[in-house]
Amino acid sequence: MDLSFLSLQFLNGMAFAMTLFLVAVGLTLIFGLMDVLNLAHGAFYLVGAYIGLTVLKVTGNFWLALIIAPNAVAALGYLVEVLVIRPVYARGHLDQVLLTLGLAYILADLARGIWGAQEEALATPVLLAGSVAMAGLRFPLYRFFVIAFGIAAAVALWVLIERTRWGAMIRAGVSNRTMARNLGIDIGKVFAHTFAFGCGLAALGGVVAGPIIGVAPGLDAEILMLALIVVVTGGLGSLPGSFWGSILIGQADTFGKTLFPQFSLFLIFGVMALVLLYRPSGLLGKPQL
Amino acid sequence: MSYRFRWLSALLMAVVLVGLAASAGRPAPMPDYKLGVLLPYSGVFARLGESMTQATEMYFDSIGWTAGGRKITLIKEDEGVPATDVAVRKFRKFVEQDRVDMITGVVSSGSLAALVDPIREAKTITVISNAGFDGATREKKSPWLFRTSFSNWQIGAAQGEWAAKNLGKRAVTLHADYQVGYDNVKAFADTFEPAGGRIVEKIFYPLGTPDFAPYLARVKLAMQNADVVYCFAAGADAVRLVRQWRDFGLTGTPITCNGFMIGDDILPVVGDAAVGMKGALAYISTLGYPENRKFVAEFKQKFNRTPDVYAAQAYETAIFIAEALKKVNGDTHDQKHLMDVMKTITFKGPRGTFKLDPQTQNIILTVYIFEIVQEGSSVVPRVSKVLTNWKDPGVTK
Amino acid sequence: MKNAGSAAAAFAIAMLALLPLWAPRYIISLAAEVFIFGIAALSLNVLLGYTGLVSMGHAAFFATGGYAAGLIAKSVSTSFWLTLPMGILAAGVLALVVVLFALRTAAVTFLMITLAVGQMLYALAIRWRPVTGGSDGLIGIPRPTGFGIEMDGTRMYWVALALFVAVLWLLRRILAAPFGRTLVGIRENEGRLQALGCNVRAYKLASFVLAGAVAGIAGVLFAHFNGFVSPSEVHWQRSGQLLIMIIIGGVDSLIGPLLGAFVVVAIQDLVSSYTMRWMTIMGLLFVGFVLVARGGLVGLWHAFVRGVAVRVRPRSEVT
Repeated sequence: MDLSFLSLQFLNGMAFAMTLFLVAVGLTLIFGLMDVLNLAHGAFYLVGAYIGLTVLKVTGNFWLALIIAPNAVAALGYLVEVLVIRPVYARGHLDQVLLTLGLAYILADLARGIWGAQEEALATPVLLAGSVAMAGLRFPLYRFFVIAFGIAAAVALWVLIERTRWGAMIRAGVSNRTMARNLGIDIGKVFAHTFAFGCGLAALGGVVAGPIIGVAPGLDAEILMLALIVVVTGGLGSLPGSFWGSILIGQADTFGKTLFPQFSLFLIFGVMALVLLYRPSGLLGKPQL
Repeated sequence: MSYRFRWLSALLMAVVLVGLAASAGRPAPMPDYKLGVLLPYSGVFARLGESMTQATEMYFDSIGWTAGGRKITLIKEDEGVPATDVAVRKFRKFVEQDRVDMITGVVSSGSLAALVDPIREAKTITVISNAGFDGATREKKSPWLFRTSFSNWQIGAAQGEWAAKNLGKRAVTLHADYQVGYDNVKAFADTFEPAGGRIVEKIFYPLGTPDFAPYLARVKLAMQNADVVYCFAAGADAVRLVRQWRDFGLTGTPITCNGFMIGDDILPVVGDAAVGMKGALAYISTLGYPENRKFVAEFKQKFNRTPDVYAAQAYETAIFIAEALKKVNGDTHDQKHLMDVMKTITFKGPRGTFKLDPQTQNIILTVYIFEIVQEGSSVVPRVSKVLTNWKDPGVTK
Repeated sequence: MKNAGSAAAAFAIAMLALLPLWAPRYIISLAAEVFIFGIAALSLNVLLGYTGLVSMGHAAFFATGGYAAGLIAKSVSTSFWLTLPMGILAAGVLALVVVLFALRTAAVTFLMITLAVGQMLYALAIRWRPVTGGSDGLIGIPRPTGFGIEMDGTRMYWVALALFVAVLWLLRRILAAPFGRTLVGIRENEGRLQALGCNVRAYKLASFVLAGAVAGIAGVLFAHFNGFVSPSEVHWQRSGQLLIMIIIGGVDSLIGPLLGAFVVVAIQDLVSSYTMRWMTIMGLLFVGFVLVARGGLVGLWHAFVRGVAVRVRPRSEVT
């Protein structure tokens, strides 16, 4: 194992990390603002990937899928927020757990009814289908795209939340709901938009990861678990936290599997447990009471 | 009572009498033959359950749902994979509540492992149509358990000997980290090593691995000292592995796999990423038997897709059950006799000649070696070698 | 009032004990499973409903009880007097080890730590093949013996019922005692109890070990009843299932978890027999539950009783 081999694995780790980031960031946004742990996140990912698949099959255009699927799922998320999430804000976390889990069941079963049970994969866009030679292996161009897209998405989200009016409203909502309401911010509307936005991000993750991870029944639960791990390791509700959390988990997973394959199954949980034992609120989370 | 009403009742009476007289001349009609079908209808294996149910119903449709004078009815239950307790619970329902005459199905090897004892205790004939748990026809075998699909050992063992003779003596194995994966690699080694082969490195990945990149890098590294990769992957893992194999430029690296990885169900999804891969399986849709051509044509027409190995197994299982009923003329009171008859049933099906090993009550398998080739714009499996007469060794000391 | 309650409970237990005399066999098997999962859910509710700790790794203790009982029954003795205590002991010891780590954290972090530990044990169950049987699990676990008889299907039902009643009674006693009230106090206001000089950590630790040990009982029963234990008994989805049982049944009572187990085991079994779309039905049930029934089934019942009471009482008394 020489240096070029390790640098290749570093790139692999980055590509996996950025996939994780795109998958997880919606979950942390929704939790950060709304204090709702959305267990239907994986199901929104699944539906997004399926919609992307259909668009791709009909039009043959990956970039169109990348635009349509997140918007469609965001609309679905908006509807869900208004219909069932809104009435339970005042309730405890446990009710939200059951509610969003029920939603996850319904959405996953609905997806199965519409798209069937066949494992599918989104075709890699022709433009990015090639690979470049590295360390005796080839590195797929599409993974460079995923790395770049993930970093760009992270920057864009940061700008959106830290530098725009909408972001300011969200931040106001996070720090003090009553105060924000008194300042004339329509909290209900901000919540609905944030929830829709978070669901849209899950779908975006589904389309971007589609050519690598594919889409199949049961993937919703796997994705939800990965997203939870990333988000909690990074610090619940923290955007930079989930970015660095995904890099830590992505790299640890890739290098761990390369160097100690017999511990593959333990790896990401072990990393999360270690982080949480030393920093109970995650890498960049706000300390809890 | 009006005049007309009296007339009517007299007429009714006459009809009833005639009916009674007619039925007295015939033996009482035999009750329906209730077949419990235990297949996954939710979760990661749902597609297999769907495919197998379609094939089963297609065959029973073609014989008008009767065999040996018995009308066949299906009761379908969800195997509930991956939670094993659901399969056991549904099995109990078949036995204790529905009182089915026979049970068929079971996709997951793990479900079967949990079911072998309940099958023996329930004394209910169970025909396994997919799950490969080796023990079911070895140390855990029972007279009530038949298997028409395969044991995990059979395919790997058939392939190991062939690989040592044709692909090279040094192999790297890559398999899923669960029992079926280990069983496959062990079966492969069981015949690969005596034929002069050596496994130089064993790599395994967790079930449901989203990203194969780290493993592929290891495979590439290990291949510096090896001739061929032997691989076991199924379902979503298979789709990811085959596609990423191409993405990382491994196309051209000699690879042979348990054919589930590149079967008729996976091939349309992975497309040309699988070109050049060699697989071994008991069924592939391009087999030239007339029975298979007919099966494929009918299936395509009815369900608008190519049947896969799971459909072929379920289809032959349905034939097997119907043939058994025919042979005993629908009289299933003597279960021992029925089971003796079942051991001897043979017919020509989509997979070739169907025959059980009476010792293990497990199918004697014909394993087909095939390669994925590009034919014009389509990607097809081409059979290159037929390995016949692979029996599970049964109980070994 | 108290006597009436005890009489009603005795009557209910008697009716359940007589179930095998008239009910079909499958209903009895299903009921036995409801009691087994009822015990598991009940044990988790010690944490959730009393101490206020949400554990997402509880299945690990359930499964440990099962693996311990299975290993002993297969290689040492099938005596229930050995498998049951050893199952409880193994689960309890594991719970002690886990909680020593997990108690450094609280709330969501506690949930995720227990989840992580549970998943690492899941990995262990798959990887440690010579002992655990790998992904197929331990199979061929014999039925337990006690008083010189083998406990077959119906007898296992009685054993499950008896253990459920015993656990319920025991937990009622423990939780009604100062110990239980201290746990509730921790849930309501941890800081205050700390200020009063209460050793909060010790109480949390004790409640976690108690919950783990009781889950072990359920695991022992599961292993004997089904004849196997597999890694899916350790998986986080099993832990999630136990949590769902409690939330559906109602967190604030001891009988709630049993009702939840009934819904998750029996109702799901029934629905899945009638339609392949059972996930949609269960999902709608969950969502409908949260929107309509506050406090789970038990809460729904209380609301119903209150509603009736409001209607029958004279108007003046209500206002």
